[in-house]
Amino acid sequence: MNLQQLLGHLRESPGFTRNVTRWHTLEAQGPRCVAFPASTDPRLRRALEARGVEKLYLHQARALELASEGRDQVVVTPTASGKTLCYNLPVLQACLEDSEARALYLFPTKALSQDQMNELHGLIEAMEVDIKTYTFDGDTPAAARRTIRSSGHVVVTNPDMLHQGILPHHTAWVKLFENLRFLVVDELHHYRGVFGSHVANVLRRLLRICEFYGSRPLIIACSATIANPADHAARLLGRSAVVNDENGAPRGRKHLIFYNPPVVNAELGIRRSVIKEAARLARPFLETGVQVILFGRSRVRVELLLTYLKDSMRSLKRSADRVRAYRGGYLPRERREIERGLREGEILAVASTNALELGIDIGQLDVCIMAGYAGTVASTWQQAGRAGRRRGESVAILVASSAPLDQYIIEHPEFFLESTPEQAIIDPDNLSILLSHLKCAAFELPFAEGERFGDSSATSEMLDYLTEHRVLSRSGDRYHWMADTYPAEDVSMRSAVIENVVIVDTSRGREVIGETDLLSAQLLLHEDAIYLHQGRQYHVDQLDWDRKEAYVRRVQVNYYTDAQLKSEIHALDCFESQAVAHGEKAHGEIGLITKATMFKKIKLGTHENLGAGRIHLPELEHHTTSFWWTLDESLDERMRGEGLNLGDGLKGLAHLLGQVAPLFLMADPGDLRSIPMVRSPQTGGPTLFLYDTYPGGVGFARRLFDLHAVLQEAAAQRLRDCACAHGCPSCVGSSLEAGSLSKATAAWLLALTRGEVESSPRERMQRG
Amino acid sequence: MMEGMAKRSPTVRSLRDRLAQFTASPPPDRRTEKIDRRAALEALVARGTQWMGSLPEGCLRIEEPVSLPARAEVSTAFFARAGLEDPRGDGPWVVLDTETTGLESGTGTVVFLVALLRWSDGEGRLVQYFLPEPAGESCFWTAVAREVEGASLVISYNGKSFDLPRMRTRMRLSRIGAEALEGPHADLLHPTRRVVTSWLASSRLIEVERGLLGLRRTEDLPGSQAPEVYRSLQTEGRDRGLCAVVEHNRADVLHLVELFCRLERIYCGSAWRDLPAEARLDLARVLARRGEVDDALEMLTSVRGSEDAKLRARAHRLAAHHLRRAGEHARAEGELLAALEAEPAGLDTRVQLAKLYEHRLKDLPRAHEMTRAALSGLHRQREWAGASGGRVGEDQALLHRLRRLERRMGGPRGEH
Repeated sequence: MNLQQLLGHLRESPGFTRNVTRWHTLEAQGPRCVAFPASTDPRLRRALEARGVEKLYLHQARALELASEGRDQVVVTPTASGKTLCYNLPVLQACLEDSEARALYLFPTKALSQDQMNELHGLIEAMEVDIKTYTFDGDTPAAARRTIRSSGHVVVTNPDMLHQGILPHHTAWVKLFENLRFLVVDELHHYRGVFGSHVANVLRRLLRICEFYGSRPLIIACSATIANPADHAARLLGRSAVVNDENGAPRGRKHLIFYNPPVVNAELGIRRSVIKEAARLARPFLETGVQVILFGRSRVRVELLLTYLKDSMRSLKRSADRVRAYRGGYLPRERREIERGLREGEILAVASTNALELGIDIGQLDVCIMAGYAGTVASTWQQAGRAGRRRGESVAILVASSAPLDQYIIEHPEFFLESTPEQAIIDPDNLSILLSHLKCAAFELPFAEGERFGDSSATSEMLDYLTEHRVLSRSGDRYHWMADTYPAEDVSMRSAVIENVVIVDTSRGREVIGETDLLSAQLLLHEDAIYLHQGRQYHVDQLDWDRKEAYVRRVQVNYYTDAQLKSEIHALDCFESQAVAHGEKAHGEIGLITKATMFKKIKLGTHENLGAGRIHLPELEHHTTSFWWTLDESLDERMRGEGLNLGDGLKGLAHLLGQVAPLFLMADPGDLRSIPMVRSPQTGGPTLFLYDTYPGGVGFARRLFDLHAVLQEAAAQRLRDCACAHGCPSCVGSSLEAGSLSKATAAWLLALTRGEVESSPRERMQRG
Repeated sequence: MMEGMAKRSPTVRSLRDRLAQFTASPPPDRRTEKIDRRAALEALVARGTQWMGSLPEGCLRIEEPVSLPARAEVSTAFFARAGLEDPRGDGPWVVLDTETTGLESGTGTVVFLVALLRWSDGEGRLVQYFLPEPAGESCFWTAVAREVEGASLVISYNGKSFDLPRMRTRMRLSRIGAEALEGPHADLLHPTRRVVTSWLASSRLIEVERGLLGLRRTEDLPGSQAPEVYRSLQTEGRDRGLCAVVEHNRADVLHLVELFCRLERIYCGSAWRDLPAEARLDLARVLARRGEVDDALEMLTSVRGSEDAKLRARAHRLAAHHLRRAGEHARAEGELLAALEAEPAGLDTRVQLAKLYEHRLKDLPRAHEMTRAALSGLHRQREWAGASGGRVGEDQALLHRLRRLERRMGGPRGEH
């Protein structure tokens, strides 16, 4: 049986189609090509022709054209559309014309840069010219660094290395900076949220240094499909870039199947395990000998997938060695071996985290099964793009988990299939991020009076502030670095949360099983808490707040713990507010104080209260930006009249909005948090706060303010689609947590504020 | 209900207050006025320094003649023997040392004081340049570059990885060419380290001055405080010991000249005799490797007077090693036997002897005897130390040698 026959068989199988919410087929598309421009260097042209590239796809030709006009661009085309040539062509052309020309390539990860090198090396070798390309990252041996600095034409690196290893030592890179003609930023959409906000500042520093050396590199950026490529590029790069998105690459026929595992407990809204279901779906493909890639959202899930896949292989009497896992934490050699195995067909199936989502070359696979929504539409397309490159038929199956995001997507495939609503959001002017990089920039080059860093109008005030703190000193009309530290060392670009508590299992020695941010730690890891991890119970013996470590031990008990959190929001600084139906929406800066006060032990099953205890932990204070939605006070009474409960409703809405919002923000659920307040002292009414977990915020609050109506709509849809009775983790949260009236009240509130409920019967009566 | 919540600009909390949450310490006091460094520089200027230009763009220059030994007294062989670059041309030698705002590499570390001792034939001149504030860097570096220009050799202590890279960086930032720094460079750190590593706690200059040169500093400021003194001048306009920093820097280069001369006498003269035995052994090893076998053997001979038997044995073995390479097998045997006498349990010595007998002196019975002795020595060692005695696989190697010898001698000896 081949893939086509297998698909035919699946279509006929009711056990499969029953769970399919949408079977979408993207028809094959032919290539749209144009001839090489006459100005193309003949050597480059011959090398490409020798590799089967006889013409250029539309977007590739456009890239060359824009580059020759000296215009910055952002290329937005799907996976496997020959995007890399969009920058390799202009760069190689420039290097052939001028042997002094230099280019800097920036990739978000190390593994990826390795791969890009291979393609570039291949072309250069075929041309038999002396264009030197080097990767410069943490693995680069010290002996090679000098050569790279002085003679590398193309230097491939990542933002971390640029930040710590190159910019603070720019005087050792004079050749590169004086002659920098191109800056290539691939996987632009990857730079969002906290990481993106940092990278935007690293690029500000880079361009500032270029200016010092008299160069002005042309920027070629590439991105997966997002809703705001031009806007995102402008914020990230600090320059406006032309969007080059007319894809000329061909595509094979592709099936996108949305699969929702069957419900096993309707009351609690629990579905069959996404992992088991994904592994089960892979089986017929394995049996037919079709190559499959499976994506799992975490390392643990990937290992589980692997276990099930190996079982399948054994029961199919095939070698279990032909199934492999791929994730971070594997050695580079092991990764290369797996990549080769996939390309050459020795490996039949691979279970991977998003590590394989980026453009690592693993050849053309036929089937992609995603165990859970990848978190963003862009990532999901990239994962789906792993199956079927340019020719032939391919399949991508999205298997939903019970998480609200997954459930939303699976019920609304159009969200995924129509033009994406996802915006990459960054805030390069987040004060804490900006301050860190302003220091780095001052270390690199003195600031001139009146000079602006990025488009921040606060630069000179911040420089004065640093001068008062003796970090800088003013001399003549410049600010000079005067501290004895190396500021780049203190900046952690990738971690969203500044501090985490590490969870150590002491049952057998000392094993780190996870970590969590301070806010959650207060609630979940206080002493005597029962901490749930992968469905297992652990007793928290000790929480060492100074060392930020929690020591836990495996137990089996018949209760769980529920901690009470006292939250206080203060120093509210409202940036913008607007009246909405039955209330008001706003965004601004908040100061948040949280303190876990006590906990209850609650018996499983019966929910009897078995006792309580105090929690002795310090208050946490946190400044960030928040969106908030305030409801008219009068609604409380009205709800009571309806037999509903305001508190339950707000809790439910908070959960629901907190889970749905990331859909539109390209954020992880952990990037946002919500607090319902029945009566907020600041606004005076029932208020729901959705705030950015990163201190100072990276732009989510503002965006949520704009998206309020869209969010309400999405939340209402999620509620309608959810089959549970009184609430489940897929919508308002379990009714145990949010209250038994949570779902009903949340639904009523959404209907009312969206204008679907005119007024209550009681009100009508009163009015009558 | 929403009073006072209309659109406002985000400046209700001042930027300063918001910045304060990311800064560990509060500012000492608000200081927005420009810092005047003139008063703080008075003491330094009074020391006979000379202004080049004026504040903020100028720099200070301090010059004095110094008497130095004639360069002709320095043996030309010294540079090669100490592993240093040879001078190029007849220009002056320039002994150099810097003071900086920190130890970090990277562009942000400011070099604010450079001492340059120009050592020409028969005369010396010590010049120090001081940067009163960063705006004067252009003037400062132009002057420093001019001072180094034409030098046939730059002499420093750890200048290869510390002073010169930082100087180049700051010169580049001021757009001053650093070609003057690219000539031959004698960094005294490595030749010094070789002669002090066995007996001094570290090879920091201050330690070397005390231990090797017998010098004590009389100044009251440790070098590590120099950055803070300079930062105080820049950020508060206070003089917290600028003269002491200048004096420290001055002493550095003067002591460097002494170190240079001492090293020359150690590597080329007889000053090595004053070194501890262990240092002599280290030096002998280096010189032998550089082909100066005769001198090395002389140094090794001097170690024989040492009370440390192990050290004596090491000296004999090292001598034997070089004698054997020179083809003097009989002398090598003598040295090894002497080593065995100094250290009767010496396993290495026995193995060396066994090799010498087997391969060079072709005395198989003695090779066999030595191997057996080594093997039983190893077994005794193992009885004491457990499996950790001897190197991994050593007994296998010895057994292998023993069997080979027995084969070559015609069967196991016991069966004869």
